[in-house]
Amino acid sequence: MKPKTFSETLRPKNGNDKDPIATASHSSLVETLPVSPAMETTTETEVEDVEGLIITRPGEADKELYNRLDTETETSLTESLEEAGTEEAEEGVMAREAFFASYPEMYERSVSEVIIGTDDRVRISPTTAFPWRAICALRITAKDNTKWIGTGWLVSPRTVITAGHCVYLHDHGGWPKSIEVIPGLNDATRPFGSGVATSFRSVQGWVNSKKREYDYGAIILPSSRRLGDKTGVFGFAVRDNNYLMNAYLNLSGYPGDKGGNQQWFMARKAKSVAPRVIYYEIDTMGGQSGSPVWVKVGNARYAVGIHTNGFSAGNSATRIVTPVFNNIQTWKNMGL
Amino acid sequence: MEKHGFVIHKSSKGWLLLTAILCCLVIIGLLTKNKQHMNAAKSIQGMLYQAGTNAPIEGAMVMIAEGDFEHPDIAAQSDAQGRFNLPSIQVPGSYTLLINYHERSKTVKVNITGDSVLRIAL
Repeated sequence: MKPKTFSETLRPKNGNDKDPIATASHSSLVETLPVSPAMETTTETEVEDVEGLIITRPGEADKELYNRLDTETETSLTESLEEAGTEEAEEGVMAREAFFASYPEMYERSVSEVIIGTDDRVRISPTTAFPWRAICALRITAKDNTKWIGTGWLVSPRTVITAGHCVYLHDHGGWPKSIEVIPGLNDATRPFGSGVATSFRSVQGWVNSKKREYDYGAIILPSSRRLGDKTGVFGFAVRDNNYLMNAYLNLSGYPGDKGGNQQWFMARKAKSVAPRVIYYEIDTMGGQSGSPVWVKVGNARYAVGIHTNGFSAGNSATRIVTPVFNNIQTWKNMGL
Repeated sequence: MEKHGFVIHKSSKGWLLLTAILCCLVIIGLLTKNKQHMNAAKSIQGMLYQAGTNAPIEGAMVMIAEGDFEHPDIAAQSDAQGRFNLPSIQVPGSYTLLINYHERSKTVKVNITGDSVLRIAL
Protein backbone atom coordinates (compact mmCIF):
# COMPACT_ATOMS: atom_id res chain seq x y z
CA MET A 1 0.00 0.00 0.00
CA LYS A 2 1.31 3.41 -0.89
CA PRO A 3 1.69 5.49 2.26
CA LYS A 4 -0.92 8.16 2.75
CA THR A 5 0.40 11.63 3.25
CA PHE A 6 -0.90 14.88 4.59
CA SER A 7 0.18 18.27 3.49
CA GLU A 8 -0.84 20.06 6.66
CA THR A 9 2.04 20.31 9.04
CA LEU A 10 1.77 17.89 11.87
CA ARG A 11 1.93 19.10 15.42
CA PRO A 12 3.55 16.42 17.57
CA LYS A 13 1.47 15.27 20.49
CA ASN A 14 4.04 16.30 23.02
CA GLY A 15 1.55 18.19 25.09
CA ASN A 16 4.08 20.80 26.07
CA ASP A 17 1.88 23.66 24.98
CA LYS A 18 -0.95 22.52 27.24
CA ASP A 19 0.86 21.50 30.36
CA PRO A 20 4.50 22.38 30.02
CA ILE A 21 6.85 20.12 31.90
CA ALA A 22 9.59 22.69 31.69
CA THR A 23 8.25 26.13 31.04
CA ALA A 24 11.41 27.99 30.21
CA SER A 25 14.80 27.36 28.77
CA HIS A 26 16.59 30.17 30.53
CA SER A 27 19.96 29.58 32.08
CA SER A 28 18.80 29.38 35.67
CA LEU A 29 16.66 26.38 34.86
CA VAL A 30 19.42 24.84 32.81
CA GLU A 31 22.03 25.13 35.49
CA THR A 32 19.87 23.51 38.11
CA LEU A 33 18.92 20.51 36.02
CA PRO A 34 19.62 17.46 38.10
CA VAL A 35 22.42 15.27 36.88
CA SER A 36 22.51 12.12 38.92
CA PRO A 37 25.91 11.42 40.46
CA ALA A 38 25.10 7.74 40.02
CA MET A 39 24.82 8.36 36.31
CA GLU A 40 28.30 9.81 36.20
CA THR A 41 29.71 6.98 38.25
CA THR A 42 28.17 4.37 36.00
CA THR A 43 29.47 6.17 32.95
CA GLU A 44 33.01 6.26 34.18
CA THR A 45 33.18 2.66 35.37
CA GLU A 46 31.49 0.86 32.52
CA VAL A 47 34.43 -0.67 30.74
CA GLU A 48 34.21 -3.88 28.89
CA ASP A 49 36.96 -5.96 27.44
CA VAL A 50 35.91 -7.08 23.98
CA GLU A 51 38.45 -9.25 22.23
CA GLY A 52 39.93 -7.57 19.22
CA LEU A 53 39.10 -4.16 20.57
CA ILE A 54 41.11 -1.83 22.72
CA ILE A 55 40.15 -1.61 26.37
CA THR A 56 38.80 1.80 27.21
CA ARG A 57 40.06 3.08 30.53
CA PRO A 58 37.53 4.24 33.08
CA GLY A 59 36.53 7.81 32.40
CA GLU A 60 37.67 7.74 28.79
CA ALA A 61 34.61 6.18 27.16
CA ASP A 62 33.31 9.58 26.09
CA LYS A 63 36.70 10.76 24.89
CA GLU A 64 36.42 12.01 21.35
CA LEU A 65 37.91 10.10 18.42
CA TYR A 66 38.01 11.23 14.82
CA ASN A 67 39.28 10.24 11.38
CA ARG A 68 40.57 13.65 10.30
CA LEU A 69 41.01 17.05 11.84
CA ASP A 70 41.08 19.48 8.96
CA THR A 71 38.52 22.26 8.43
CA GLU A 72 37.77 22.45 12.11
CA THR A 73 38.16 25.07 14.75
CA GLU A 74 38.27 24.03 18.38
CA THR A 75 36.40 26.27 20.79
CA SER A 76 35.89 26.03 24.49
CA LEU A 77 32.95 24.20 25.99
CA THR A 78 30.13 25.98 27.66
CA GLU A 79 28.78 24.91 31.01
CA SER A 80 25.21 24.90 29.76
CA LEU A 81 23.23 21.67 29.76
CA GLU A 82 20.82 22.98 27.18
CA GLU A 83 21.67 24.28 23.75
CA ALA A 84 18.93 26.05 21.85
CA GLY A 85 18.14 25.45 18.21
CA THR A 86 17.79 28.32 15.80
CA GLU A 87 14.47 27.97 14.08
CA GLU A 88 11.07 28.92 15.40
CA ALA A 89 8.14 26.61 14.90
CA GLU A 90 5.90 27.49 12.01
CA GLU A 91 3.24 24.88 12.22
CA GLY A 92 -0.24 25.21 13.59
CA VAL A 93 -1.18 23.49 16.79
CA MET A 94 -3.03 20.23 16.40
CA ALA A 95 -2.80 17.22 18.66
CA ARG A 96 -1.90 14.07 16.82
CA GLU A 97 -4.89 12.04 17.94
CA ALA A 98 -7.15 14.95 17.12
CA PHE A 99 -5.67 15.15 13.69
CA PHE A 100 -6.33 11.49 12.98
CA ALA A 101 -9.80 11.70 14.49
CA SER A 102 -10.58 14.40 11.96
CA TYR A 103 -8.80 12.71 9.07
CA PRO A 104 -9.00 8.96 9.64
CA GLU A 105 -8.16 8.32 6.01
CA MET A 106 -4.73 9.80 6.69
CA TYR A 107 -3.94 7.06 9.15
CA GLU A 108 -2.00 4.25 7.60
CA ARG A 109 -1.56 0.91 9.28
CA SER A 110 1.21 -1.10 7.77
CA VAL A 111 0.75 -4.80 7.58
CA SER A 112 4.00 -5.54 5.83
CA GLU A 113 6.30 -4.75 8.72
CA VAL A 114 6.90 -6.27 12.07
CA ILE A 115 7.26 -3.45 14.53
CA ILE A 116 5.82 -2.87 17.98
CA GLY A 117 2.12 -3.52 17.60
CA THR A 118 0.68 -1.63 14.66
CA ASP A 119 2.69 0.85 12.66
CA ASP A 120 1.81 4.29 13.94
CA ARG A 121 4.31 6.27 11.91
CA VAL A 122 3.05 9.07 9.71
CA ARG A 123 4.74 10.48 6.66
CA ILE A 124 6.05 14.02 6.74
CA SER A 125 5.41 15.75 3.44
CA PRO A 126 6.44 18.35 2.54
CA THR A 127 9.61 18.39 4.57
CA THR A 128 10.44 22.04 4.03
CA ALA A 129 9.15 23.28 7.42
CA PHE A 130 11.19 23.20 10.60
CA PRO A 131 12.08 20.86 12.28
CA TRP A 132 11.63 18.31 9.49
CA ARG A 133 14.05 20.10 7.19
CA ALA A 134 16.84 19.82 9.79
CA ILE A 135 16.54 16.02 9.66
CA CYS A 136 18.80 14.45 7.06
CA ALA A 137 18.84 11.22 5.09
CA LEU A 138 22.31 9.69 5.13
CA ARG A 139 23.86 7.66 2.32
CA ILE A 140 26.86 5.89 3.82
CA THR A 141 29.68 4.32 1.82
CA ALA A 142 31.79 2.23 4.15
CA LYS A 143 35.52 1.70 3.74
CA ASP A 144 34.83 -1.73 2.21
CA ASN A 145 32.40 -0.08 -0.28
CA THR A 146 29.30 -1.55 1.34
CA LYS A 147 26.36 0.86 1.23
CA TRP A 148 24.11 1.78 4.13
CA ILE A 149 21.36 4.26 4.90
CA GLY A 150 20.79 6.13 8.13
CA THR A 151 19.48 9.42 9.51
CA GLY A 152 21.09 12.47 11.12
CA TRP A 153 20.14 15.93 12.37
CA LEU A 154 21.80 19.29 12.08
CA VAL A 155 23.03 21.10 15.20
CA SER A 156 25.05 23.75 13.38
CA PRO A 157 25.55 24.79 9.74
CA ARG A 158 28.01 21.95 9.08
CA THR A 159 27.52 19.48 11.95
CA VAL A 160 25.19 16.51 11.72
CA ILE A 161 24.64 14.31 14.78
CA THR A 162 23.92 10.63 14.20
CA ALA A 163 24.47 7.15 15.62
CA GLY A 164 28.02 5.99 16.26
CA HIS A 165 27.39 2.97 14.07
CA CYS A 166 26.69 5.29 11.13
CA VAL A 167 30.12 6.94 11.37
CA TYR A 168 32.18 4.00 12.60
CA LEU A 169 31.28 0.56 11.23
CA HIS A 170 33.46 -1.93 13.09
CA ASP A 171 33.04 -4.82 10.66
CA HIS A 172 33.31 -2.68 7.53
CA GLY A 173 36.59 -0.82 7.83
CA GLY A 174 35.78 1.60 10.66
CA TRP A 175 35.39 5.22 9.55
CA PRO A 176 33.41 5.36 6.29
CA LYS A 177 34.80 6.52 2.96
CA SER A 178 32.07 9.14 2.74
CA ILE A 179 28.58 10.03 3.83
CA GLU A 180 26.17 12.03 1.72
CA VAL A 181 23.91 14.23 3.87
CA ILE A 182 20.51 15.18 2.41
CA PRO A 183 18.38 17.46 4.62
CA GLY A 184 14.63 17.20 4.17
CA LEU A 185 14.84 14.60 1.42
CA ASN A 186 11.35 13.97 0.10
CA ASP A 187 11.24 11.24 -2.55
CA ALA A 188 13.34 12.62 -5.41
CA THR A 189 13.18 16.20 -4.10
CA ARG A 190 16.21 17.60 -2.31
CA PRO A 191 14.89 20.99 -1.18
CA PHE A 192 18.15 22.05 0.45
CA GLY A 193 20.63 20.19 -1.74
CA SER A 194 23.11 17.82 -0.17
CA GLY A 195 26.73 17.58 0.93
CA VAL A 196 29.30 14.80 0.96
CA ALA A 197 31.38 14.55 4.13
CA THR A 198 34.60 12.69 4.88
CA SER A 199 35.22 14.02 8.39
CA PHE A 200 33.67 12.07 11.25
CA ARG A 201 33.62 12.00 15.05
CA SER A 202 32.69 9.47 17.69
CA VAL A 203 33.98 8.41 21.10
CA GLN A 204 36.22 5.71 22.55
CA GLY A 205 33.30 3.92 24.18
CA TRP A 206 31.95 3.20 20.72
CA VAL A 207 35.05 3.03 18.50
CA ASN A 208 37.23 1.01 20.86
CA SER A 209 34.71 -0.85 23.00
CA LYS A 210 31.59 -0.98 20.82
CA LYS A 211 29.42 -0.23 23.82
CA ARG A 212 25.80 0.43 23.01
CA GLU A 213 25.68 3.22 25.63
CA TYR A 214 28.26 5.21 23.64
CA ASP A 215 26.72 4.72 20.21
CA TYR A 216 26.78 8.32 18.97
CA GLY A 217 28.86 10.43 16.63
CA ALA A 218 28.97 13.36 14.25
CA ILE A 219 29.53 14.23 10.62
CA ILE A 220 31.39 17.46 9.85
CA LEU A 221 30.44 18.80 6.43
CA PRO A 222 32.98 20.62 4.24
CA SER A 223 33.12 24.40 4.62
CA SER A 224 31.38 24.83 1.26
CA ARG A 225 28.31 22.90 2.42
CA ARG A 226 26.68 24.96 5.17
CA LEU A 227 23.38 23.10 4.98
CA GLY A 228 22.24 24.17 8.44
CA ASP A 229 22.20 27.81 7.34
CA LYS A 230 19.17 27.02 5.20
CA THR A 231 17.42 24.52 7.43
CA GLY A 232 17.87 25.78 10.97
CA VAL A 233 19.23 23.47 13.62
CA PHE A 234 18.08 21.39 16.56
CA GLY A 235 18.81 22.30 20.14
CA PHE A 236 19.90 19.56 22.52
CA ALA A 237 19.66 19.15 26.25
CA VAL A 238 20.23 16.93 29.25
CA ARG A 239 17.01 15.96 30.99
CA ASP A 240 16.46 13.93 34.15
CA ASN A 241 14.57 10.63 34.42
CA ASN A 242 11.35 12.16 35.66
CA TYR A 243 11.26 14.64 32.81
CA LEU A 244 11.95 11.99 30.17
CA MET A 245 9.30 9.65 31.54
CA ASN A 246 6.64 12.35 31.44
CA ALA A 247 7.41 14.09 28.17
CA TYR A 248 6.27 13.00 24.76
CA LEU A 249 9.28 11.98 22.72
CA ASN A 250 9.27 12.83 19.02
CA LEU A 251 11.22 10.80 16.49
CA SER A 252 11.47 11.34 12.75
CA GLY A 253 13.77 9.72 10.22
CA TYR A 254 14.22 7.88 6.94
CA PRO A 255 13.16 4.23 7.28
CA GLY A 256 14.31 1.73 4.67
CA ASP A 257 10.97 -0.05 4.58
CA LYS A 258 9.56 3.13 3.02
CA GLY A 259 12.37 3.25 0.50
CA GLY A 260 14.72 5.46 2.51
CA ASN A 261 13.67 8.61 0.63
CA GLN A 262 10.69 9.60 2.79
CA GLN A 263 10.60 11.05 6.26
CA TRP A 264 8.36 9.32 8.78
CA PHE A 265 7.43 10.56 12.23
CA MET A 266 5.98 9.24 15.46
CA ALA A 267 5.64 10.52 19.03
CA ARG A 268 5.08 8.63 22.26
CA LYS A 269 6.12 8.67 25.88
CA ALA A 270 9.21 6.76 26.99
CA LYS A 271 8.82 3.19 28.16
CA SER A 272 11.79 3.39 30.51
CA VAL A 273 15.04 5.21 30.97
CA ALA A 274 18.47 3.94 31.92
CA PRO A 275 21.53 5.99 32.83
CA ARG A 276 22.67 6.16 29.20
CA VAL A 277 19.72 4.80 27.19
CA ILE A 278 16.08 5.80 26.60
CA TYR A 279 13.63 3.01 25.71
CA TYR A 280 10.35 3.65 23.89
CA GLU A 281 7.71 2.02 21.75
CA ILE A 282 8.01 4.51 18.95
CA ASP A 283 7.94 2.49 15.74
CA THR A 284 11.16 2.56 13.77
CA MET A 285 12.83 0.56 11.04
CA GLY A 286 16.30 0.13 9.57
CA GLY A 287 17.50 3.46 8.20
CA GLN A 288 16.27 5.46 11.17
CA SER A 289 19.50 5.02 13.10
CA GLY A 290 20.75 8.45 14.09
CA SER A 291 17.30 10.08 14.13
CA PRO A 292 16.75 12.80 16.70
CA VAL A 293 14.61 11.96 19.70
CA TRP A 294 13.40 15.34 20.84
CA VAL A 295 11.05 17.19 23.15
CA LYS A 296 9.25 20.38 22.27
CA VAL A 297 9.15 23.13 24.86
CA GLY A 298 7.14 26.06 23.62
CA ASN A 299 8.53 26.67 20.17
CA ALA A 300 11.93 25.22 20.92
CA ARG A 301 13.05 21.69 20.10
CA TYR A 302 15.63 19.93 22.22
CA ALA A 303 17.07 16.57 21.24
CA VAL A 304 17.39 14.35 24.30
CA GLY A 305 18.49 11.19 22.52
CA ILE A 306 19.90 9.70 19.34
CA HIS A 307 17.94 6.74 18.01
CA THR A 308 20.17 3.73 17.49
CA ASN A 309 18.54 0.36 18.11
CA GLY A 310 15.47 -1.63 17.26
CA PHE A 311 13.97 -4.43 19.34
CA SER A 312 10.48 -5.80 19.71
CA ALA A 313 10.57 -5.23 23.47
CA GLY A 314 11.40 -1.55 22.96
CA ASN A 315 13.39 0.56 20.54
CA SER A 316 16.05 2.76 22.06
CA ALA A 317 18.20 5.84 21.84
CA THR A 318 21.56 6.81 23.22
CA ARG A 319 20.62 9.29 25.91
CA ILE A 320 22.11 12.77 25.90
CA VAL A 321 23.79 12.97 29.29
CA THR A 322 26.40 15.51 30.28
CA PRO A 323 29.43 13.91 28.57
CA VAL A 324 27.38 13.35 25.40
CA PHE A 325 26.11 16.91 25.58
CA ASN A 326 29.67 18.21 25.90
CA ASN A 327 30.83 16.26 22.87
CA ILE A 328 27.87 17.40 20.78
CA GLN A 329 28.65 20.96 21.86
CA THR A 330 32.27 20.55 20.74
CA TRP A 331 31.23 19.04 17.43
CA LYS A 332 28.64 21.75 16.95
CA ASN A 333 31.35 24.37 17.32
CA MET A 334 33.46 22.60 14.70
CA GLY A 335 30.70 23.13 12.18
CA LEU A 336 29.99 26.79 12.80
CA MET B 1 55.07 -36.51 65.56
CA GLU B 2 56.52 -37.70 62.30
CA LYS B 3 53.32 -39.39 61.42
CA HIS B 4 51.33 -36.28 62.30
CA GLY B 5 53.69 -34.17 60.19
CA PHE B 6 53.21 -36.53 57.28
CA VAL B 7 49.46 -36.15 57.51
CA ILE B 8 49.73 -32.37 57.51
CA HIS B 9 52.08 -32.50 54.55
CA LYS B 10 49.71 -34.78 52.64
CA SER B 11 46.78 -32.51 53.48
CA SER B 12 48.68 -29.46 52.16
CA LYS B 13 49.36 -31.29 48.93
CA GLY B 14 45.69 -32.06 48.59
CA TRP B 15 44.72 -28.46 49.07
CA LEU B 16 47.35 -27.39 46.58
CA LEU B 17 45.96 -29.83 44.02
CA LEU B 18 42.41 -28.70 44.68
CA THR B 19 43.41 -25.04 44.33
CA ALA B 20 45.19 -25.79 41.06
CA ILE B 21 42.13 -27.58 39.68
CA LEU B 22 39.86 -24.71 40.71
CA CYS B 23 42.21 -22.20 39.10
CA CYS B 24 42.17 -24.22 35.87
CA LEU B 25 38.39 -24.34 35.91
CA VAL B 26 38.16 -20.57 36.46
CA ILE B 27 40.61 -19.90 33.61
CA ILE B 28 38.72 -22.24 31.27
CA GLY B 29 35.47 -20.55 32.26
CA LEU B 30 36.86 -17.10 31.57
CA LEU B 31 38.28 -18.18 28.22
CA THR B 32 34.98 -19.75 27.20
CA LYS B 33 33.07 -16.64 28.24
CA ASN B 34 35.48 -14.45 26.33
CA LYS B 35 35.15 -16.62 23.23
CA GLN B 36 31.38 -16.49 23.47
CA HIS B 37 31.57 -12.74 23.80
CA MET B 38 33.90 -12.46 20.82
CA ASN B 39 31.43 -14.38 18.70
CA ALA B 40 28.41 -12.61 20.12
CA ALA B 41 28.13 -9.77 17.59
CA LYS B 42 28.87 -10.17 13.91
CA SER B 43 28.02 -8.62 10.56
CA ILE B 44 26.43 -11.23 8.31
CA GLN B 45 26.79 -11.36 4.53
CA GLY B 46 24.02 -12.15 2.12
CA MET B 47 23.03 -12.10 -1.53
CA LEU B 48 19.78 -11.21 -3.28
CA TYR B 49 18.85 -12.69 -6.62
CA GLN B 50 15.89 -12.98 -8.95
CA ALA B 51 14.00 -16.21 -8.54
CA GLY B 52 14.07 -18.03 -11.86
CA THR B 53 16.84 -16.07 -13.55
CA ASN B 54 19.32 -16.06 -10.65
CA ALA B 55 20.25 -12.51 -11.68
CA PRO B 56 21.63 -10.42 -8.79
CA ILE B 57 19.42 -7.64 -7.43
CA GLU B 58 21.08 -4.28 -6.99
CA GLY B 59 19.83 -1.40 -4.85
CA ALA B 60 17.47 -3.31 -2.57
CA MET B 61 17.17 -2.16 1.05
CA VAL B 62 17.72 -4.89 3.60
CA MET B 63 16.95 -4.38 7.27
CA ILE B 64 16.09 -6.28 10.40
CA ALA B 65 12.41 -5.99 11.27
CA GLU B 66 12.45 -8.22 14.32
CA GLY B 67 14.85 -10.47 16.12
CA ASP B 68 15.84 -12.33 19.23
CA PHE B 69 18.21 -9.51 20.15
CA GLU B 70 18.45 -5.75 20.00
CA HIS B 71 19.94 -4.64 16.68
CA PRO B 72 21.31 -1.46 15.08
CA ASP B 73 18.54 0.34 13.17
CA ILE B 74 20.61 0.87 10.03
CA ALA B 75 19.61 -0.46 6.60
CA ALA B 76 21.91 -2.01 4.02
CA GLN B 77 21.79 -1.59 0.26
CA SER B 78 22.66 -4.45 -2.06
CA ASP B 79 25.44 -3.85 -4.61
CA ALA B 80 25.68 -4.73 -8.31
CA GLN B 81 26.37 -8.36 -7.43
CA GLY B 82 23.33 -8.44 -5.15
CA ARG B 83 25.55 -8.60 -2.08
CA PHE B 84 24.55 -7.01 1.19
CA ASN B 85 25.57 -7.12 4.82
CA LEU B 86 23.47 -7.11 7.92
CA PRO B 87 24.77 -4.80 10.63
CA SER B 88 26.62 -6.23 13.60
CA ILE B 89 24.08 -8.48 15.32
CA GLN B 90 24.06 -11.08 18.07
CA VAL B 91 24.51 -14.61 16.73
CA PRO B 92 23.29 -17.27 16.82
CA GLY B 93 19.79 -15.88 16.66
CA SER B 94 16.54 -15.78 14.80
CA TYR B 95 15.74 -12.63 12.83
CA THR B 96 13.02 -11.41 10.49
CA LEU B 97 14.51 -9.50 7.58
CA LEU B 98 12.57 -6.97 5.58
CA ILE B 99 13.72 -6.48 2.01
CA ASN B 100 12.44 -3.48 0.12
CA TYR B 101 13.02 -3.55 -3.61
CA HIS B 102 11.44 -0.88 -5.78
CA GLU B 103 7.74 -1.03 -4.89
CA ARG B 104 7.93 -4.54 -3.53
CA SER B 105 8.78 -5.80 -0.10
CA LYS B 106 9.39 -9.22 1.34
CA THR B 107 9.90 -10.51 4.84
CA VAL B 108 12.11 -13.50 5.48
CA LYS B 109 12.66 -15.25 8.79
CA VAL B 110 16.17 -16.61 9.14
CA ASN B 111 18.13 -18.46 11.78
CA ILE B 112 21.59 -16.98 11.71
CA THR B 113 24.76 -18.54 13.02
CA GLY B 114 28.23 -17.03 13.06
CA ASP B 115 29.18 -18.42 9.66
CA SER B 116 25.85 -17.88 7.91
CA VAL B 117 25.81 -16.53 4.36
CA LEU B 118 22.27 -15.72 3.32
CA ARG B 119 21.02 -16.37 -0.21
CA ILE B 120 17.59 -14.87 -0.71
CA ALA B 121 15.48 -15.13 -3.86
CA LEU B 122 13.00 -12.36 -4.63
